[in-house]
Amino acid sequence: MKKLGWLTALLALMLLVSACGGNTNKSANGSANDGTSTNAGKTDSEAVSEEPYEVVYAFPFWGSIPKDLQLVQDEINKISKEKINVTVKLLPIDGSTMDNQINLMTVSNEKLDMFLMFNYTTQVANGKLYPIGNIMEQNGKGIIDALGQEYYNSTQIKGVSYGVPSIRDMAQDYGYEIRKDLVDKHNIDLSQVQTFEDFEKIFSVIKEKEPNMAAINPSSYGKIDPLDNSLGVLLNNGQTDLKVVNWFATDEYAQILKTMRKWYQAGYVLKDAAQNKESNITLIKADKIAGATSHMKPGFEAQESRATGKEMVAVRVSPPAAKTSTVTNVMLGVSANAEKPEKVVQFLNLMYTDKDIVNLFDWGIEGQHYVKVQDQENVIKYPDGIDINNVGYTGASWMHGNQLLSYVFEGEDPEIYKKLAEFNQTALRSKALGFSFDAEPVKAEIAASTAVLNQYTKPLEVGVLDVDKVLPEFLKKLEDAGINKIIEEKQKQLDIWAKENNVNP
Amino acid sequence: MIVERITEWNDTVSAELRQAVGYKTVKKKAGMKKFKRYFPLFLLMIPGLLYLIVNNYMPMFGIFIAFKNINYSKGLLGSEWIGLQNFEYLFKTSDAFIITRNTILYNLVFIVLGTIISIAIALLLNDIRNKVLNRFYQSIIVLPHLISFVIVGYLVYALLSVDSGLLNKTILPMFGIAEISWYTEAKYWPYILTIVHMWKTVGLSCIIYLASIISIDPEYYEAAKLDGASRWQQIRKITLPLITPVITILTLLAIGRIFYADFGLFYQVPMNSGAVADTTNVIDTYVFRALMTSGDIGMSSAAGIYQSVVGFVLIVFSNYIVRKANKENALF
Repeated sequence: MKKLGWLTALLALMLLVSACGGNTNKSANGSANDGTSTNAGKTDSEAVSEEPYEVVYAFPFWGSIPKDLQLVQDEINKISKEKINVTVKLLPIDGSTMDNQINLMTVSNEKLDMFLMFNYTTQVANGKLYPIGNIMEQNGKGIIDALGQEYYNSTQIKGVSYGVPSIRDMAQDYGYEIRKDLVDKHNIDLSQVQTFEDFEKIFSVIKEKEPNMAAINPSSYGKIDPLDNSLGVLLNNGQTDLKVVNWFATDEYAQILKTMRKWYQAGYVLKDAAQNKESNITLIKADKIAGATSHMKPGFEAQESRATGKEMVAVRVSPPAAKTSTVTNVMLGVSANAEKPEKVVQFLNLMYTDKDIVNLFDWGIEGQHYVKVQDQENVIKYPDGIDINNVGYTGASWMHGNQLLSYVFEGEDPEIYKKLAEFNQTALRSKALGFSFDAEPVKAEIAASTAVLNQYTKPLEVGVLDVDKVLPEFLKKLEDAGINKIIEEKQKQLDIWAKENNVNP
Repeated sequence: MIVERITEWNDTVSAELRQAVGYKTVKKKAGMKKFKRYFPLFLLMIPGLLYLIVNNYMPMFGIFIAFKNINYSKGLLGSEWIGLQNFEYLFKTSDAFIITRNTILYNLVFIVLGTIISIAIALLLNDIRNKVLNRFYQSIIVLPHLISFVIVGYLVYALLSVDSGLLNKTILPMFGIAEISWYTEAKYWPYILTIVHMWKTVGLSCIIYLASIISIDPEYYEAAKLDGASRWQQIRKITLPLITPVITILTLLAIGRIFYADFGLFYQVPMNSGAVADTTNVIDTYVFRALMTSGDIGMSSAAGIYQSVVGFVLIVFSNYIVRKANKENALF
């Protein structure tokens, strides 16, 4: 709370400061505008001599800012200036303070044109985004083509799109990853695992043969479409109908909890799993666990093998399914304060269509940060003398636009992005794909229910609590917090949405 | 050293200030004269006052955020007013009672125990004549105050972890007691949290008491010794009465914050374990859990205001009681 109190204080201060600073800014901008507008009047026909528009692009980073960021930015600008007369200013923000920073920048009218977010609907509700849907056809056609109409439509809120997802895995499946050496050593047959309950066949072997290691660090499981916040969901990944139900009160959920409880008591589960803050990668590296359950995508095994330094294999128990939440969980949007949203969307368009720009974002400068592997179009490696520890630039390809245009690093499956594209195309679609819940009418109930979820779900889903005793208590508290009102509201909105979009229940 | 100097300086300055502030009661002419005389002292007050205004009063301007539905595109001032809607969620939960009870009871325990332990340690420190040792103990005892709660959380975890904790793996087996799953058993946490809180905060408050004990005129003790008073009698009849004003002020200030809980203590130390929420859930953790995903600043400000208002009422009320008992000890 201290933190929250401070935030308010800070905000108020910022407001005052910006009241003083804002004026000078505006007048400066104003005069600059006056200057350019007369210029523009003269040279309207030859747009090239117009000052290039600078797009400030904020995105989160974890760890340290790459030292060659400026160089990469310059290279990107060379291309974008020539193509659309736009330059970009990259603004990496520490992932943990990203939200606050964006809030402060918006409130204080600091220049910000585009940012990456993980909470799309909240940002839309808070009015931080410009409705780019209205200008997409003219300026961002390439984005729509790259995404496919269906995924693009799923970003619409009340008929207008406020952002676009980066192209990565738009759907998720669920499974268990495990160290390959253990599978080989103990002759574990992964193909015998078909359902969630079948995992036990693996776990019991690990428990018996590797007593010093937990078989699993669990993660939340459930074949549902969470409809934004898990408070009111569609069962069966949204394949059956459009009936919003309380997931936590279903038999299916109770059954999963009981299974987890059984596994916890049998000693399969990492004992401190409820308190654990280490990543699966760290735990696997430290020989604490043999494997972990999680959401997956094509190439997941390769990615995990690289991160853990141990070869990993995976077995999946639920098919890939696309829901609004899996599409909109990483979004790029144009700030409501952006001066020329069209220009920003044009730049965004490049991030989805221009292979050179995508690879500058993802891998840096050719020859300096990577070189192409001989005779292969899309495969790259580090130049001599450079490795992951001293390379001057690293980027997150799942974040900056269209990952499908990205090069593949040597050692990974060269076909990976083809597979990913196919994965996205063939994934099951929830019937409610494209529905976004407007939380505004039940804000208080959601806050109260979220607090209950944050308190109960983790220990229950890990198995440290007695399900028969705690689950009823959990459900009672959810009801007191108003989950039924949320479900009712959600159903109402979903019905309206279904009618408007001709979705059959 | 520093402590002594500060108290000395405090004494002289406050005496002067008391005179200076008292100028109102004297005739106006004399008032002007005094004002001139103490002008430098008023000047000295300016930086502190400015700090207070910038840091404590200007932000109050932001109170209105709690009554608005913040929409960033409309700006803070342009967002629509929604009355008390932002406060609703605070009372929506059936845990409202548990949360309020926890917040207040923990703080009461902390105030009472904290005062007793701090004074006891201050008295002990005061009797250590060896300068080097005295400094050493003081530093050691303040040290925990400087450790971040995230780290404290892990220190506690190192003790209590089921997998590898010192208690479960080493100490309990020595007494033949079975492993205890600390992070799922709510009943242990009132004790754990109290111990951690004391360990972390007693150091600093005992320094404040120590400062006021040191500033007591040694002549009192000499006279008492001549009369044959024992150590215990000296403490009871001289030390405690003379530091009562400090105790009252510190307690009153603490009461003003009785509705605030130390977020670090209640969130980091139990490692955000939902299973023990019955005894660790306080207002601040509830607000955090409720709003961490939506990050609604209107609702979080509402919680802040609610806490401030309750704190304000409590402090006025307890000050009123103190005034009744002894006017001199009251804050205002």
